[in-house]
Amino acid sequence: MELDIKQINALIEKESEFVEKITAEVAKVIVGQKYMIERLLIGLLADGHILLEGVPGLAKTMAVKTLSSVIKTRFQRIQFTPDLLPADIIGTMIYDQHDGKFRPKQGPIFANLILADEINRSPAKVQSALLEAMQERQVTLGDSTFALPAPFLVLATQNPIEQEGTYPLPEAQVDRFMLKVSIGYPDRGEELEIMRRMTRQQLPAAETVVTPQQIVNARKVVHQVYIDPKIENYIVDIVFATREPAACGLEELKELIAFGASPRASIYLSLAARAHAFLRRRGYVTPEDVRSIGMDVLRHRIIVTYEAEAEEISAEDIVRKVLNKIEVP
Amino acid sequence: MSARFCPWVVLGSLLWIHTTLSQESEIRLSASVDRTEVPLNRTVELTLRLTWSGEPDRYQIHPFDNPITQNFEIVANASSNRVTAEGGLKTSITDYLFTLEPSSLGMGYIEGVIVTYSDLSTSESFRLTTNRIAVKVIDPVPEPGSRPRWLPGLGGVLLIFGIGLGLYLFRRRSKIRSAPADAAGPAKIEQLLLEQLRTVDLDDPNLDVTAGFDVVSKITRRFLTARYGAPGPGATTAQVIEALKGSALPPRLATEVEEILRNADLSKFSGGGAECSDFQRAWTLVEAMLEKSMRDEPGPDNTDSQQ
Repeated sequence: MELDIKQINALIEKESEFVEKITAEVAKVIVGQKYMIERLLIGLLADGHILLEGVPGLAKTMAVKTLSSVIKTRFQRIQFTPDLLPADIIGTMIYDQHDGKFRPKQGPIFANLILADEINRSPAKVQSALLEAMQERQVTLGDSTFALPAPFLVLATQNPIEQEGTYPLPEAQVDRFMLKVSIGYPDRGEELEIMRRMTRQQLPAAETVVTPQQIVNARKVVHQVYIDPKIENYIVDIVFATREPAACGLEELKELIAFGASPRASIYLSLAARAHAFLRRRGYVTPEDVRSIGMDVLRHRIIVTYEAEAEEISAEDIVRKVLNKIEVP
Repeated sequence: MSARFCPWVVLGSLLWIHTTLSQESEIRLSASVDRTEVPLNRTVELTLRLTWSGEPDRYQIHPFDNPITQNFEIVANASSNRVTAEGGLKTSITDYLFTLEPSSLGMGYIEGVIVTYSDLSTSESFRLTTNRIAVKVIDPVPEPGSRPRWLPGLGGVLLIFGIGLGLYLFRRRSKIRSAPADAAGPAKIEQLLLEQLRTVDLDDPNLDVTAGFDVVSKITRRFLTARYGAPGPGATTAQVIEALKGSALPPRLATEVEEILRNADLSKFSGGGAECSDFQRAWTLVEAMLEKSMRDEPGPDNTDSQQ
């Protein structure tokens, strides 16, 4: 351990002050959806991209826009449409008439926070262009390679694929998102508050309260959050259970899982659990942190078989069973 | 010379007379079946045989209708002609074969068949009739390679019997397993856990607090699962504490349990953040909790949670 837990706790106290400010500002605009806001913060702190899924009208886009407005960063929103081209995202080479040369014209992806709205409305080639840039954190235009700015975070939204006119994200591309968060409907009280707040003459607005440097500093602390080998083994147990369920006493899942979670799942589980512990002002990771973000990290990394689909068993059901079965340390 | 030829003339005359008389005999008609009892899933062969002496073209057999049947259906028919010679006498045989398929169980009948023919040498017409034939239709026989009809039924009976036997054995085994615990009283689990707890020596100068908290935490959770229905080993501390909120665990004990488990988590996962005094306190609290539970009679809720 580089630092004592008490020192880490003190660092967390200092560097996590902005979390409450962000939460308070976002709450001015967004009613409820605390789970989604917390996941957005985890993505921000753990440097992982997030895919938000839910039916239209659940404030997915508004939440991301609000989050971007409270952080003093360059924000870009890209509305994905069926006729969007890769060059519309990453940029292209433009012919300059003055000197007769081609010059790179950077696309909207050169920003700190990207809102890829309704990402599944565009064909696979456009999705791939974005997701490759997300992974590499650099873009090549012509013979020049440009690094994307830091922090760089893509928050994508998508409507459920059952809806018409959508292109499901390829499994390999979905794996690049750290978290896939499913957004549910607000409860009755929240719905009432949404109605009242959004029908006022002056709509609420959030103020900028955080600088990019604060985010970068917090990220450094997140990486210092202590994760015990017992927790690391617990994470590996969970990931392995999705690949070899029978070895973990989950024989019934053997025929239901076509492909288990990739090593990215282990990496992201570890990172996201640290960020979760940071948000709880804790300098070490507990099994609660892992379980809390386990569903969001794993649900899009498990590919179920036809048998599972026939029995209407989803990847979420499988993750739930795995998390309930694996013994916490 | 006439005396020498006389016997030969007489013999030749007799032969001629015999042959002529034989050829004048009329057609014989017979009807037969290859079996008098036929399974429902088999067929029966009806043979109408016309036999006469002489050449096949001596008579003209007139076309006749198919036999009238009851409880049978004609599925095929055929005819054949042949001539046999024996002792210099030719015999012509014409067979009409009908394949009959039974329709249902019971008796089946083939009514008499009327056959007419003409003697081409005299242009006279004759009429022949067969007798009514009765055939019994019996239960179908198993097809080759198929399972006997009773096998699925027997399989069902065996399955029900097997399930019943399995349930009986399972209940009996459960009873046998629970018997020692019942005999030892409801405090059995506490006794067992106390023994495990006391394996940790608090006076040991080299006491590993983290390992000790691990033991204390596991003992506490086992006790809570057995006595208060707390979730099993897959649950986190927060889930256990949440589940205990609706249980019969007294509030003071719930607070102590939360403290024990939280401190155990701190010790186990923070890389040694807990103090030895915290561990000693946790150990003492768990011991007191187990001893108290051993003394108290478990209530109805506790009994349920054991099952």
